[in-house]
Amino acid sequence: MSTLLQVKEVTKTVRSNGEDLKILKECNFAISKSESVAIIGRSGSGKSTLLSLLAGLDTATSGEIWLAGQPLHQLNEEKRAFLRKKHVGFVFQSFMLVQSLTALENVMLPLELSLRKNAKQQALELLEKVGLSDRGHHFPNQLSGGEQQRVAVARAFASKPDILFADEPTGNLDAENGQKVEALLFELNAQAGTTLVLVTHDRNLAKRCQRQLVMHAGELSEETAIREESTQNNGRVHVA
Amino acid sequence: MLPENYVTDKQWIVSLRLAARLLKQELKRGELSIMLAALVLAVSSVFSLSMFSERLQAALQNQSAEFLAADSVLTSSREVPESWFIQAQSNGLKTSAQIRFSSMLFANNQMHLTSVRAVDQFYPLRGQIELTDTAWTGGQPTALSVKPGEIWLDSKLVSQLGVDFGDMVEVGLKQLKFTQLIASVPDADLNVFNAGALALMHIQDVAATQVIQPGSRIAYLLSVAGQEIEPFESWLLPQLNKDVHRWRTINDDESRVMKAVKRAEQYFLLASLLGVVLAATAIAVAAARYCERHFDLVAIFKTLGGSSQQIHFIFSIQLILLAGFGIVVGLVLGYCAQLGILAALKEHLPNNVPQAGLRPWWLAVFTGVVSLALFSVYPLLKLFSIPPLRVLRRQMEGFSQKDWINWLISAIAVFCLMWVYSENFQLSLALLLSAGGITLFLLLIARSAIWGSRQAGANAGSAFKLALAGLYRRAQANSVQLISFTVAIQLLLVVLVLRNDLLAEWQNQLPEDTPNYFAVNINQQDLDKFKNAFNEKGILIEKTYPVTRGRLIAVNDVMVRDRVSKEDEKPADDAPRAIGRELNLTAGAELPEENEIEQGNWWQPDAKDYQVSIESGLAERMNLQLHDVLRFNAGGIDFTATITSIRKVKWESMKPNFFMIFNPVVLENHAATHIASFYVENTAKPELAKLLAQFPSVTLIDVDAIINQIREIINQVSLAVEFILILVVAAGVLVLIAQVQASMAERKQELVILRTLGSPSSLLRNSVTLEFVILGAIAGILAAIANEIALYVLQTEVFKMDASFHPEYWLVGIFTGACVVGTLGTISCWHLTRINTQRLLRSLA
Repeated sequence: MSTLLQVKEVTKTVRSNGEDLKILKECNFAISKSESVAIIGRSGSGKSTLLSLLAGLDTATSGEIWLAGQPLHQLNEEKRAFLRKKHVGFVFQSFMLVQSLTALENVMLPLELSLRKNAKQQALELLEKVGLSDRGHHFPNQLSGGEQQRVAVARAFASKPDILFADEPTGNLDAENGQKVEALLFELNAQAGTTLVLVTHDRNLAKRCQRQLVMHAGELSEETAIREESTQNNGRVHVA
Repeated sequence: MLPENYVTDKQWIVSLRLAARLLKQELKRGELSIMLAALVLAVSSVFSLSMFSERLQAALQNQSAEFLAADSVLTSSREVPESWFIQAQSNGLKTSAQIRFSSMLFANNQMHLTSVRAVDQFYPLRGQIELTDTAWTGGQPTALSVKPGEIWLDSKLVSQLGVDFGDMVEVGLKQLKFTQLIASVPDADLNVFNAGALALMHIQDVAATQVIQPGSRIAYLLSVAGQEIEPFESWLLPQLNKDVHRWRTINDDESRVMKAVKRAEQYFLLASLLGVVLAATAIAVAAARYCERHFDLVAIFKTLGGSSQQIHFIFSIQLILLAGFGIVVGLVLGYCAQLGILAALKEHLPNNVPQAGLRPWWLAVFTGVVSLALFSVYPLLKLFSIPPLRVLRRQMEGFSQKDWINWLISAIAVFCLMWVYSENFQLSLALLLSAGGITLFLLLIARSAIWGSRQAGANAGSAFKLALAGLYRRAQANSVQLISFTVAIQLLLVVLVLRNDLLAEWQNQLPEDTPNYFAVNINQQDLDKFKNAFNEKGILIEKTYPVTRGRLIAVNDVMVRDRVSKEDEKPADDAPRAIGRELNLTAGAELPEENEIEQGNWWQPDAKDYQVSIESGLAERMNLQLHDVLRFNAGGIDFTATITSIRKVKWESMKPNFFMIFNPVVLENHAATHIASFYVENTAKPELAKLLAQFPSVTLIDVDAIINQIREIINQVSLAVEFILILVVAAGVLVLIAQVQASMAERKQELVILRTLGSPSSLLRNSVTLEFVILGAIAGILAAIANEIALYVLQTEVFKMDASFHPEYWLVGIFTGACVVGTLGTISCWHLTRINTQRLLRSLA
């Protein structure tokens, strides 16, 4: 299976109170196409920082990140945005829906930004898949938290991304809604064959992924594979 | 490679659709209502104010022009060349020729020295002659003009000569037929001493009278009226000889009316400027909030791969659509508003209010565009710089530490608006710099006040404590908010106080019982009889002035024949023609009202040495100084008096004014006539003719028409001032609302925390209300202080009024601040304190 995401010697240092603080320390790993990977760790361990670098939302202090064959570390903001438009989908803990757009319009948004035709039709189909076809004309504040996250999931899959990043996708939901969203996420992921990178501190959610990477004080290590098939894929982790 | 389902749609069409959709939702949800309201208010108020004031001023100028009976008048002691008339006409102006001279008129074996105006058929170019059938009664405007062979006489002449319609009147060698009785002419001479009897005849008849002889005192007038006087003026002025010609325009008219109009213009300008600045401030606050609310949206767009170009386009197009919509609505509302005001004021306004030019249109559009564009630039730049990472780290904002750019751009925007609006670079710069200074000063005080209130409230009750804690916690934001509140309240106070002061001053100048008649030439022996006769008819004569005719013959023993002969010239400042060949000398123990000593001191009433007080303009023209010794001749007797004071005289006051006043002892032994001014009610006017018949030597001068005209203009100006006040208040309230709204997101978060911790709604409501009340009260105090400083400068430097202290507005400031800010804040946060915590939490998510 070919590599979709390659991380080499990536570090991230920020200035805090006049001192350099190393949030990520020489991370190395690769993720293959269609693979599902969970990044787990305690709050403040650096997992969201890692996610932001992998998705090109932020830039690393040093090291290389290759996404879909493109050197993210060498691209400017504009080119990284273009790369995200083509290859990346997102689900956030705080849903991040556009409050002034309806559920349907939120799902249409990535399609419109990519100038794809039949955006409305595709968005309606996705809303149906997440069970919200009758809520398309509702605004986010008229939906429950679970419903909002399901709209966010539909939006994430709308542009048919190669890789989907999910940051604590169930973190803001109760158990029941959390399970619904979780099920949906993995179901759609399986259907579309999308690569899934999921940041969570929910061990149960992490266990549903093929691999688990553990962040601890900015250092990355790989947990023992839980699933048999994870040993069969080419996922590799080089622990610094 | 592009995916196969990529469309060839132009990117901008998609972006336009997206921008329109977002804008529609924003408008629907009322998110842009403050910004739109501020924009509409700025545009509509600039539009309606500038259009209304332009139209009103044009109307007022027309009305003021009536005092000249033209827009400009050239008075010459020599005949005005025909070519000058032709030049004026070729510049598109209407012209009228007039010859003025004094002559004895004879009829029925009676004669009377009369001020004769020989006019053409175009007289008057502005205003109307009023005619009547019965002497001393009000007249009706007429379109008639005096024809060759005719003479029109005023009530005074008709009484003196005892003529009837159709009688022949002799002017020099020419017999003219008395056909019309003049009630008033627009350019009546307001000078009590010069306003003799008036007759109008046709200019063609002048030659036949043969009254114009070498050495005769004749004034030739060239009157012009039209839209564009300037080209003719600039052609004419270089050719004028100061000793021969005098050019008068309505703008250099120092009459009471023009002063009122000029002050009103300054007030319009200032109040409109403040209104625009307030509305622009509301736009700035709302624009900043608009952009802050879209931080997440931009972060989401960027995360989903939206290009900078797309994002710039989407938000720029939103603002352009908003600007377009706001400007159009503003223009429509503004147009309706000024039509409404004109309709409401119809009976107070002159007929046929002229149409305004294009200026109000472009000024309003410019205001809308500049307010929105410049005040949005910085917030937009900040918005565009929002990193996509904000989707994960919500606290991330765009570039910071560049607030000076914002201040700079805002200052440029305010300056542009002020400059374009006032067309006065220096005034705009001065206002901007002083506003900057005041802002800095207020910022310091605001921070100290908030810090002080924290200390004071440390041990207070819980809601109060919570309110103070809230204030302190948001000290940075609150001090900016406090400045906005302060400036808004201060500007409202300035506009309110100035309005009240202006109106009061105007009304004081012309109280209800302002004398509307003057009686001159009352003999000494008739004085008591005259007073009694009038008092019996209920006409109160309070004050009379003795008048002795005399000449100034030497200054410090140097004969002033030359100087005196030059007195024939009109004083340059348009003071009444009091210095003729003879002066009207008076004596008095007390300084007349509305006279002000500029140099020296007023005398003791019983002073025995001969002293004289001289009018400042005359002193300057004749180069007279304090302690100069003047020699006069009155009734064949020479006497000398020392100048002990120099007075400033308000020539425009409806009272007898004098160039020379002596202490009582000087004129004790000189023959004098007396002058009296008094108020006659309309109902008592018919009695005047009968009363006057007892005193044939007395001449009566009617200034009622003039006073009414002045009152009318002042009423119109006052109403306009009220309208501006309302607009400025509306702009101020918008700023307050915008500011309260701007702090809403942060308040939401705090309320959630407090609610989650179990604070009862009542506590939250009380603390929110108290926080705004305290903020408003502090703003009120600061506004009152700033108000006093600003008013002092404005009153003394701009309006040339007496400075006044306004303790009553301190309370108004504090009370208004606390009430208005408290109420607006409470109402704005009301729903926040009522909705349940779950909903609040969700709205924050």
